[in-house]
Amino acid sequence: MNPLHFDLTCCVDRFDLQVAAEIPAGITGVFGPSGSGKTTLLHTLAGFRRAEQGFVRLGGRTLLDTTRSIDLPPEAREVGVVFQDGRLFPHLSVRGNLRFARPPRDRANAPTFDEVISLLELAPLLSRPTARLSGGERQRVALGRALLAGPQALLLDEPLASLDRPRREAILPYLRRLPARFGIPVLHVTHDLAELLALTDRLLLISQGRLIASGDYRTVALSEAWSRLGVGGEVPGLSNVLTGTVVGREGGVARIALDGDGHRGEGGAELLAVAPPRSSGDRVTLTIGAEEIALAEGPIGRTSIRNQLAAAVDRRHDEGGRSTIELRLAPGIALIVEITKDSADRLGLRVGSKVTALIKASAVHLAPL
Amino acid sequence: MISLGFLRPIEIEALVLSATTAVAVAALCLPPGVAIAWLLARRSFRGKALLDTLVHLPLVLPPVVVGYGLLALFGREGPLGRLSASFGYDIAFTPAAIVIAGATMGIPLLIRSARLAFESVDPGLEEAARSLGQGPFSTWWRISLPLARPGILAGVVLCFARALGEFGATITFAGNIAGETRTLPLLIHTELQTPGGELRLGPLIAISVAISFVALLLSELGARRVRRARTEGGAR
Repeated sequence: MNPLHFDLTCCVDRFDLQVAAEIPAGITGVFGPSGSGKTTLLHTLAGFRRAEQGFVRLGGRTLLDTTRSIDLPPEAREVGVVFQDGRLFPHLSVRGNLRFARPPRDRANAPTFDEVISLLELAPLLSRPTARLSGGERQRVALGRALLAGPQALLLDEPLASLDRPRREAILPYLRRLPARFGIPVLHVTHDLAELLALTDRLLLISQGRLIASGDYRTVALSEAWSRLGVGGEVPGLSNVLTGTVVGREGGVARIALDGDGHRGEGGAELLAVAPPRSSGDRVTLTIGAEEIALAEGPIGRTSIRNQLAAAVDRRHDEGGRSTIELRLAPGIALIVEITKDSADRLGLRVGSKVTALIKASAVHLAPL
Repeated sequence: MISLGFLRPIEIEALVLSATTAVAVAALCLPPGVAIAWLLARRSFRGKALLDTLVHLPLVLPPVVVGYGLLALFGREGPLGRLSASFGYDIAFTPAAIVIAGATMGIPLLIRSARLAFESVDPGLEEAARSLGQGPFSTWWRISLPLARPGILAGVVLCFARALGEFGATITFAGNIAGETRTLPLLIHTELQTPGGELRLGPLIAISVAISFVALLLSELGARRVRRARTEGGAR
């Protein structure tokens, strides 16, 4: 479709940012410690800050090229931005905020007002003043407003950071629907890894103004760059986010068939999770911390641990006293596990080793997909 | 309309003259005042410190000095005075001079208040507006200006009140001509020069106090809305 391609050196004052990347259509996460330059990058792409040097191309258009003295103002870039605090206009109602967005005249595929209203379920909010919106509602309005301007790329600057977990999980499904409808590059900045993984596997890892790794999450997680960051303790523990379908309940425990290789509930692996009641057929995301998973040579006997999954080691990366292991449960279903290097050595883990992954049902966090 | 039957004709005349010239001052100062306030709040440019100083000068100079300066500019021999005379208009010692004197003394208050109001508008909202496809002017007109409106209105009220009470610059530049340029404060001054005149001043002083009181109240209400908007992130 229309990739967002940039190579930027920024900025004139104090902060030093130097990042180049090509972002395809769909959601790409921008991840890194706070103060690493994520927001600066977004503001430079949007045209709020001047880049010292470099270019930004979006589809066939050049938004910035310092060698050709091209520097389009924000209103001409067709780049939508959703800010952490929403930045709704306080003197306008929800409808006024949405109507403020001005799509470019020649964009035939810009969404209509009604389409955005129904996509984000904004109809009941339209006549409300913005002061009477909850945090989650504010962000839905901010997202709708950005979409109504018919953007060719979307920048989300920690849009969920000010929300508590339930509200965050309530808004994630709206974000997940974006790529299918709009087919534009979406950069999602966050320092919450689980939130990011619930949206995408593809990420840019930024530290101290430099792009230090990019690509598939599991590749990045097992990279040198990631463990270097982890040493400083600035990056939270690794996490796994899987998707699946509820297929049954046993007591207070839900049974979920995991998706594998793009097929719903056909991955062949199942997980039990302690969860509030859900009906069969519900689609869910499952979040499991990488340190919550234990490994054994094979199935173990009587135990309180409800999930015992046969798996094979796909990759192993050692750094300091830690081992990061990538396990394959079934085609298209992988798990990242963090254990001490000592434990990994005692199990004799190598690529291809057969192991059993042990996961307590209470360590699996469910959220609606 | 309140009956003004308790006032003498010369008092009514002075009151009407003061009110109309003060309204003219407020209306005349509004566009340039808002423009200068916005420049000072949001732009950096060469000579900004100079403009800032010039704006504040009338606040600290003795009003008589301001009046003298205006006379030097707009009088028969002044450069602007000669220009207006060539079109057949005299400015000094006419009601127009009252307006110019009031504007010179009042516009600093308008600018100060409006500048604070513009500074309190979150620049992030202006960025958001631009990223939504709106150009700089449309962003200013539909976002910055409405959000700064309470502070601007407070400034207009202060400017109006200042013009209404203006004495020193007015008497120097517009004179104290009965039935021509004798405003409310000038009439009060004139009466005080007359033996027994102070006995007739009660209603005039009451009216002056009432107008000032209402103006300050309106201005304070406006300023309070600006402060509230700032602390609540603009919620209302």
